[in-house]
Amino acid sequence: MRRRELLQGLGAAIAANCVVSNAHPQDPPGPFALPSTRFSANRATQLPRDAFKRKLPIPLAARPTAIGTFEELSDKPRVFGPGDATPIGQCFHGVAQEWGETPEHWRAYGCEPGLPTAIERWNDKKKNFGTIPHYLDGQLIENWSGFPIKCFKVPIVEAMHGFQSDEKRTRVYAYAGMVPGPSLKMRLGQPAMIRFENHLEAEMSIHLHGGHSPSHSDGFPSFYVLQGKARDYFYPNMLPLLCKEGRYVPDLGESQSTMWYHDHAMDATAYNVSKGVAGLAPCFGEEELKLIHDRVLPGLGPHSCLDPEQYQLARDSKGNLDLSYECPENPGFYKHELGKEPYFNPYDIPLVLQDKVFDESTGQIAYDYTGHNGYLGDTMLVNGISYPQLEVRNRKYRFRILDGSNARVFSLRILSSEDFWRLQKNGIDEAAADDATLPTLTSRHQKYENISKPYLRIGKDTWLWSNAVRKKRIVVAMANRADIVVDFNELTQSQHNPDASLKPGETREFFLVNTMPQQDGRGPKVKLDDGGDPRVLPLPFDTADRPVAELRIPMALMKFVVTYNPPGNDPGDPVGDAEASIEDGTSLIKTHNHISDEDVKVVREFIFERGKGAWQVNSRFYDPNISNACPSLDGAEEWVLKNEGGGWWHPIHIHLESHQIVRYEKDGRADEVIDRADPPTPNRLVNLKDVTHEIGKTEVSGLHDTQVLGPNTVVRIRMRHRTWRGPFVFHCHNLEHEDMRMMFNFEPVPGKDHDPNIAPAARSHGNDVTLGDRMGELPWEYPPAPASPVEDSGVNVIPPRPAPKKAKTTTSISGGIK
Amino acid sequence: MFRLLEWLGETEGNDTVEQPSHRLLISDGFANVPVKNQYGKSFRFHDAFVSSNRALVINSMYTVCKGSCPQTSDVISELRKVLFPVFGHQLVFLSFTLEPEVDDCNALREYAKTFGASVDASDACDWHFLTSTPADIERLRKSLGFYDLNPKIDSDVTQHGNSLMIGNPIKDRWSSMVASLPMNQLTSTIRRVAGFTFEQRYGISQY
Repeated sequence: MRRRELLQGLGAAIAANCVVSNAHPQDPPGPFALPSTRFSANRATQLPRDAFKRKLPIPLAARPTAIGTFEELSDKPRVFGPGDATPIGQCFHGVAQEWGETPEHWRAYGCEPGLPTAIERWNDKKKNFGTIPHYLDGQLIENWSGFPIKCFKVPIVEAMHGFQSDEKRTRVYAYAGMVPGPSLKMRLGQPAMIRFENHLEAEMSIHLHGGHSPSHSDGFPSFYVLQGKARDYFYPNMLPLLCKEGRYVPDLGESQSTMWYHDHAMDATAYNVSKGVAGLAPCFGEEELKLIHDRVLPGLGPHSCLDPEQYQLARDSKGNLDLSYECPENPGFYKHELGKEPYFNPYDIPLVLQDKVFDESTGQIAYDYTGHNGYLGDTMLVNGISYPQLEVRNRKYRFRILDGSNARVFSLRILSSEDFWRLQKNGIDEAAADDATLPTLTSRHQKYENISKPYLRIGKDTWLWSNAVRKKRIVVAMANRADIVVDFNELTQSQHNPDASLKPGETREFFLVNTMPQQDGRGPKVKLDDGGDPRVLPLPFDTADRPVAELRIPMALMKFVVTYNPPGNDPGDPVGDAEASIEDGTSLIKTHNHISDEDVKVVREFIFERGKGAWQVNSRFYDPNISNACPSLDGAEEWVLKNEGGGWWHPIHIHLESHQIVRYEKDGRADEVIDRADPPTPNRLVNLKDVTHEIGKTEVSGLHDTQVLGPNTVVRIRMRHRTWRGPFVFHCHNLEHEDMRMMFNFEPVPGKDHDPNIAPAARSHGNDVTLGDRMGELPWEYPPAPASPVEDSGVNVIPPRPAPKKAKTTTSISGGIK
Repeated sequence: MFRLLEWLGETEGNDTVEQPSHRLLISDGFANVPVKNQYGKSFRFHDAFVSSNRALVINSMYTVCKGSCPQTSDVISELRKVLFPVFGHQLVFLSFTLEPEVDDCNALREYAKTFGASVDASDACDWHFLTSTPADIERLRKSLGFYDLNPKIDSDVTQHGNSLMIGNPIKDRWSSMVASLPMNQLTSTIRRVAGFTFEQRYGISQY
């Protein structure tokens, strides 16, 4: 019995019980009550007949409706298109008030709080941010610069979308009628003003995930766009400032790369997102553009750094809008073509991974309302269609991968066509007879490692890494992004037998597959009938050495068809179609600013757990009207995130800024004794072991916005809180957990004398006053704080941080609170 | 993108999206089991409540519960009064028993009396206490999602959750909330999720 071999030592007896309990079907007779909507775990391995026939759609980039300075756009009708006479900020919800506000703390950045009008305050901010000198490789760069504002309009509508085939249409909620939503291409330093107009019978709140945006444009759960109404979201695309030797400089390390936007409305996010409201918002900053320009990253070199409409919309000789920029079938969107689309790059391809259950009789999305543990689909979708194929050349490509599912964790590998089809037939255990004495877990891992094709990972979440790292498998949890570069030339070369390499006229096929075993929304787990390990997976990272559970038959996501067409051959490339120079170890982003022990002023603890049939943080349900943490603005804090749930996975997303990992600890022994049904028990997390070193140096030192807490895990992270006062949220990105209240508010407070244990005395900035005097404040939106200060929960229970390995720093905090 | 809007505008009045032959609703899976209320009146669950074009707030309870039930029932008795001016009889509260062996119609009526729900009220939303055979209650409970993934917890009635299931079967919007949340959050979520009109949902005029 191979399973026995795994259960060694002390864990064996208890784990044997676990085996018994696993033998009984424990899941309720669902998750879907209708026979035609049953979740089928096998569906993903039983490919439909038309799999890999349809082409991978590339989301279109939205074209701005107007570009100009604030004076040019302010109070003018039709800046959101000829059909919209309402000026900026005069729609129902108005524009984020932060647009024209200068609170006192901006004085530190050189701004003048006392100016009388919003335009003056805006220009003052722009001037002061834009003139802070900052250098990249000796060259002066602009931060919040003289770029004019781009206006976009995105209607949120109900539409029909062909997920499974062009004929079978499914009703969706969609940004501009598209699934995934249109790409909102951002330029660092260039503000964007987006009017989201809600045509649904549901309220929305749009969150730009990874953005450093003011609270009223951040998708705070109760700052809605009501049914039939609109809100002007203002994305300044600015960098937070870092105080260095008494002077403020832009924190270039925060330059965003792959952001995305999705719904964040209270109580209904999961349903809304499962119906389609999610899209990508790539952002281009100086450092990344330099990498593209110098052809380190794949692209058309300098031509992929250009935005033909950066300063104004193109017009023809009569002054009318030049429609040759737009896609004829989709007016209002850029033609996917050089010289038309901003930052056009045929070798930079977004892959939005999602999973859904479809009702067999109607082809509609079957959302399982009753499964509050997380909606897991059985049909895999990439960019909104099932099992697509993409034709590529034998050269390097960059793929920005987003896990846009509600509850599925992916483990991504690339397999050759031969290996993939053999595994479809026989499974990994039969394939390539290795060492038969190894336990299943280890031998599977080895076999997969032997046949998987290598690629480079260059970033996680919203940010690029400091250097490229060669990988064969990466784990991507909900809301995580993985930026990778695949060299299809390397994949089609045969070192030992040059005759087997790709030749002119030939094609080769590769498959992107998921090998993560997951049967329900709680998180990845291995069922015994799959021949695997009864324990939960060790770590939600692509650990280098530790074998992790993987599926016997990999789940296909999409197919790559490589045709022979090496770099240097494309006459359409104005710079000679050069190959990207990136390889394992290539240096990428050099400006990440590490948060040191000295910077940390406060340590907070947050425990994510199940309670009363829903989910809680620190034994509380989310209340949108209170502040659960009030960090000092411009300060840095260390947060201890704990997951005691034996089988639950919680990817914790913190809004506003990136965070850094200090320490990732795991109670591996607790993993071995859990029952699959895992009731929360208090005696977990007693055998914690530091596993940070297993994650990989580059990933640990990189920036994150969504930290995955596997079962029985404690993670220490550090983050800064800058520029905006809040309120902001942090929450579990298993969207059902978020809706069932696994969410907290934090609200940075300016001022040197702020006590981070106390809620601010006045929170008038938190009110959504954009309704102005027309409506008054909506009763359920963020009210002012009570007159007396409120003590934060967790006072005196914050655990001391473990002493640093080398006891040389004396400034390390031992008691937690300052 | 504005031209897409114009296109949407042009076709206004017609349906801009093609109608599928059958629209799949979340509530399609809710069991249509026979149930009886505290007055002894018989219904079929799906026909009587889900297809009745009324908004629903559903919870589970049993009469001898010493845990969360009395509190939850207290909250509901408050909610049905507070929300009556907003919804009138368009909102119905349903409490189904988890111990149908013990809780017959009479037991439920006695229990309802404690919370002022033993006679039809003219100033509060309807509140039905439902019972049925154990097998049908089990079907109902599972189809509505009132279960725990842990079979040990699931089979122990004293460990049942105190969540309120809130929904509007016409608009196909459903949500769950813990009954112990503050009253203003319960009312705002019920209005927002289960409301029919803009005014019911947001408390302000649409225009």
